[in-house]
This record gives sequence, structure tokens and C-alpha cells, in this order.
Amino acid sequence: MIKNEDIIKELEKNLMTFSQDARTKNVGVVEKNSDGVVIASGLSQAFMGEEVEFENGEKGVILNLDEDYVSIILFGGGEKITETDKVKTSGKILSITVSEKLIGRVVSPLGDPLDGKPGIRIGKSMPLEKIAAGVIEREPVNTPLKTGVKLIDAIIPIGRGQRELIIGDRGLGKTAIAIDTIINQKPEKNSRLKPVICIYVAIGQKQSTVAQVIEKLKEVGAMDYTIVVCATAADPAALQYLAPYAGVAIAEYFMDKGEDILVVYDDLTKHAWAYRQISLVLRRPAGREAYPGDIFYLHSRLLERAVKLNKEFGGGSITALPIVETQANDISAYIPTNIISITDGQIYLQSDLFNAGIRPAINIGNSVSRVGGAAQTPAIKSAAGKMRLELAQYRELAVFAQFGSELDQATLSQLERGKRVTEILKQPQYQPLPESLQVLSIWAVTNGFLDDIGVESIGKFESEYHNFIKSNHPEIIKNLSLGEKPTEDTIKKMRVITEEFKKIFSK
Amino acid sequence: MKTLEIKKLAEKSFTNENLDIKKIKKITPLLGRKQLKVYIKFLKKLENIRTVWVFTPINNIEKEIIDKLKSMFPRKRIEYITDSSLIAGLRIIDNDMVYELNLKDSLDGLITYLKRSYD
Repeated sequence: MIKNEDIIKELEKNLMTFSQDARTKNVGVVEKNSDGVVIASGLSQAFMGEEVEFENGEKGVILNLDEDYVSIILFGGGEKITETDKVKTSGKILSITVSEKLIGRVVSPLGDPLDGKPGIRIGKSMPLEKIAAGVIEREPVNTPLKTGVKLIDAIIPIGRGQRELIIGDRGLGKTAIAIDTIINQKPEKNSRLKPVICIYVAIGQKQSTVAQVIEKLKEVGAMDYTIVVCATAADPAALQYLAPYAGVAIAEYFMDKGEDILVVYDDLTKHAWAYRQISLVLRRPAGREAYPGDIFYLHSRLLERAVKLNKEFGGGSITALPIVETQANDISAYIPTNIISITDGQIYLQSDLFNAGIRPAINIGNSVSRVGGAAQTPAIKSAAGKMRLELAQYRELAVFAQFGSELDQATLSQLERGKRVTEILKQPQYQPLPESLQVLSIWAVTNGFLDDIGVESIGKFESEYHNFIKSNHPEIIKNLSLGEKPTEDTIKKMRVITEEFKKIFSK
Repeated sequence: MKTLEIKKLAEKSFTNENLDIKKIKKITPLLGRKQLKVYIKFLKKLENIRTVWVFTPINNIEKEIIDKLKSMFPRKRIEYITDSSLIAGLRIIDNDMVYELNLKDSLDGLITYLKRSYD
């Protein structure tokens, strides 16, 4: 129990640091309050991005500075703010309080708790707007960020510090890929890679959808290393606009400590909508599709904050997985093209593939990872090297074969192989695979071990094959999980084991 | 008439730092209802800029303090208002700047500081 004297001592200690200097406040008067934007006169000392407080305790941030007026966007509804109300500046740029205690929490873009638990008051104040790390502080992407999705890890690999866009129509599994990636970051024992802290930023989504995501993350134990920043469709546009910046500000706190962070922005289309709404209310000139002129800068300054720092600067990293929703598979719309040009690659999901039962419905032809290849482990590189080429050839031949002309044996076998490769790349939702099992599956299919297995039995074969090796030959799994290129000896063993399993499976 | 022109008219309505009734009588018939509203708004704003409000908890302020305030805000009209809630000290409002030199503000600051420390 704490003694009375200790409490008094603590109080005295705190009082010693209290400054009694005269305070100067810069105040203004509300002239107009409409659509979440307040126009106030006065505030001659105010600066862009400064937090302000109204008489009734509501807060906002300055987004426009005019000769006689300032425009403030509100964090709340602002129903109680009336003309002639007083507003005062805070002298500080908008920031969020971050500490380790934030891990496992669901917070608003201002850091207020949304999960019913106590607020986080003590921590480091991180500015929402910050200039991204410069070239001196950076190093090339060289460490893999494993998503657990076979197709992505094999063909479109993502590295720590990369910005990989997930793009596609609604309901095709964009969020599912992001959630799978978060689930796959569960710290492994004896892993050579640093654990990854995940931040899921929900922007303008339905509250029920966000609740489902949080529930799923809790169910699989992913909330132990995840932070959810949430600005739903019910929140003011100002909060939706600030949400991704809050997410990256939190990420920067952990990155400064040398940690690796994964940030998912779900999604930036709605973010652009929120910013368009704010800009139109602020009477900023509208451009294409009524978006303001700085819509590109809005996203580029956010995604530029994804970085891989070099060892001198702590070696931390921020990997960004922005999500963009397209309409009718149109990736050439304004916001999608903007973000495609900012990011280091994209994972393109297509409705035709989804409807054909290929899930994840990734279109390999339009998907690319510009820097991730350098981060791929030798193990998966050796297994998946052939696959991309085989798949490309298969797709070309499949189109050709549609005409029904007679095909030679070589072409037929290539088509059959392609079908099996496509089948093995299918993966159920929320079931990320470790790299060792991915390597086994891909190695088996690309080396023809599945050529005599029926396409409909591939899924069953794969899961039983994994279980067989896990229980009977754990040394192979251990060997492959090191990430090194399998030795001749290991490959020999894998051949023998696969043949052995095929005999059991065919029975 | 444009807002900027009305603003200029409002600025010209002052003679020797005081509103000139003759000038105002000449200007107002030239303005429509909406323009008149804008004109009044500018006059209020300019008046506000030219006035310093001093809040004190006591009625009689020492001459020494009055002289000091006058020297601090030359060419500005100083209005004194009694506000007993300040307990001791002054609050000075100069346009959009508020200088808190009173005990009430110090105590409020202390409360906020302690609240934040023990949250």
C-alpha cells in the first residue's frame, strides 16, 4: 500500500515541474459553422495543422488560413458550436499519444479508446503529419514480409519497407489478403526474422465490417501484436481523413525503436472521398472527378512514410499495404492510377477469377512486385522460379486451346500442368501457410509430382501431403523453414518422401 | 461594392482613432442592406483592434498600473472591467490575444496539469 507521505512527495515533485508563467492565448470567434467546417475570425497567430479548442471542449484542426479567417475541420459533430463562440489555439500541431500499451487496442485517429478500455494518456506525442525519411536514412528492401498466401509469396513477394497496393472490385477478398498477412505475422519460435507489429487502419467502413475484422483478429490471437485505428463511415470526414496519418504516426513510434511494422490502409478510395468532401466544403477548387488538386500529394506523402531504415538509424521498417476499391474492374480510374504510380507494385484481384472459383482471385498478369524479389528467400525463389513462366505459358495456351484445334502431346501436358499449378495456388481464407509448406507444394507441382493426380484431388492431396511430412519428416520442414536453398541431399529426400506419400495417397 | 472596398471604407471611417460620425453618415446611404452588414462587421473588428480590455477583480486600480498599461498599449483605448472570479491579478485582451496574469488561470492550469499527470 502507498504511504500518505509518498503521495504528498509525488504531488510536490509534480508541482516542482509545473510552470507558473503567465499564459498567452490566441483566440478567435466562430463566424460560421456548416458541414463540419467552422470559419473563425481572429486567431492571427494560428498555423496550418494546429489543433484548436472550442468553448464547449470540442476540438478541430486548422486546414485553411485566409487573410481575415481560418477554416477549421471538426473532430466531432459540432452541433453545439454556434456563431460568436470562442475558439483558442493550442500551440501544438495535431498529434497522437503513443506507447507500447497501444498494442492490442482499438483507437480513434486521435488516440481515444474505442474498445471500452481506459485511454492512453502517457506516452510519446507523435505528429500526424511528418516529412518522410530521406535517402540517407533508407536502405533497399532486403527482408521478406511473408503474407502466408502461396501465390503472393511465390510470385509477387513483398519486402519489409515496401508499399504494395491491393486493388480490385468490392467483395473479391482485398481485406482478406490483408488480414491473412496480419495473421501470418504471429511471432514464431526460433524465427530468424524480427516479429512484426501490425496496424490495421479502417477508413470509412461499416462499423459491422470493422467489428468482424477485430473479432477475427481476436479469435486467431492476432490482436496480441495488432493495433486497430478506426474511423468508420459514421465518423466525421475529418476523422476519416486523419485516420491513415494516425496509423503511420503510430507506426513511426515503433519504427524509431527499431521494430518492423505492417500498416494496412483499408481503404484509400474512401480516404480520397473524405478528403474530397472536406475540400469542397472548404471551397478549394475542384479538379478531375471533383477531387482537389492535391489529391496525389495526399496519398504520396502518406505512402512515402513507408520505409526501410538502415542500421545506423535503427534498422526499423514500415511496410504499407494500401487497399483501393475499383468500379467494374477499372484500374485506369483517377485514384487507382494515382496510387498504382506511388506504390512499389500491386496485387490485382479480378471478379472473373473469383467467380471461376480461383481464390485468392489474383490476376497474375496485372500484378507485380517491383522490389519484393530482392527480399525473397532463396528457398522459395528456387521453388517458384519456374512457376511464373509455366503459368504465363499455360494462360497463353489455354486461350489458344479454346478454339478446339488438335493439340500435340507437349502442349496437352503443359495445359494439364497449368491446371494443377492454378489449383495448388488456391488457398482458403484465414489459413496462411508457413514458407516451408509453401515451398513443398510449389516444388511438388513444378517438378511434375502432381501430374498424375486428378485436378479435383489436388486440394486434398496438398493438405494430406503437408500433414504427412509434418508428422513423419519434421526435419524437412525444419530445413526448409531456414529459408536457404534446399541442398541436393534435401531435394533427394523430398523426392523419396513425395513418391512414398503418393503411393499411400493413391491407395 | 466589393468586400475589399467596404473594408477600406470602414478603415476610413475613423478620425484620430475614433469613429467619425460625419463620415459614417456619408457612407451608410451608399450601402445596401447586405453591404451595411459587412460594413458594421468591419467597424466592430476595427474597434476591437483599437481597444484593449483589462479585467480586474477590484474596482480601484492603482494609477501606477494604469500608466504602465497605457505605455504598453499606446494609441489604444483601454477599457476596465471588474471580474471578481479572477481572485487576484489581471486578464488583458488585445484583439485576439489574451494575456492571463491572474490567480484563477494559474489554479485552472494547475488542476489540468494534475489531472493529466494522474489520469
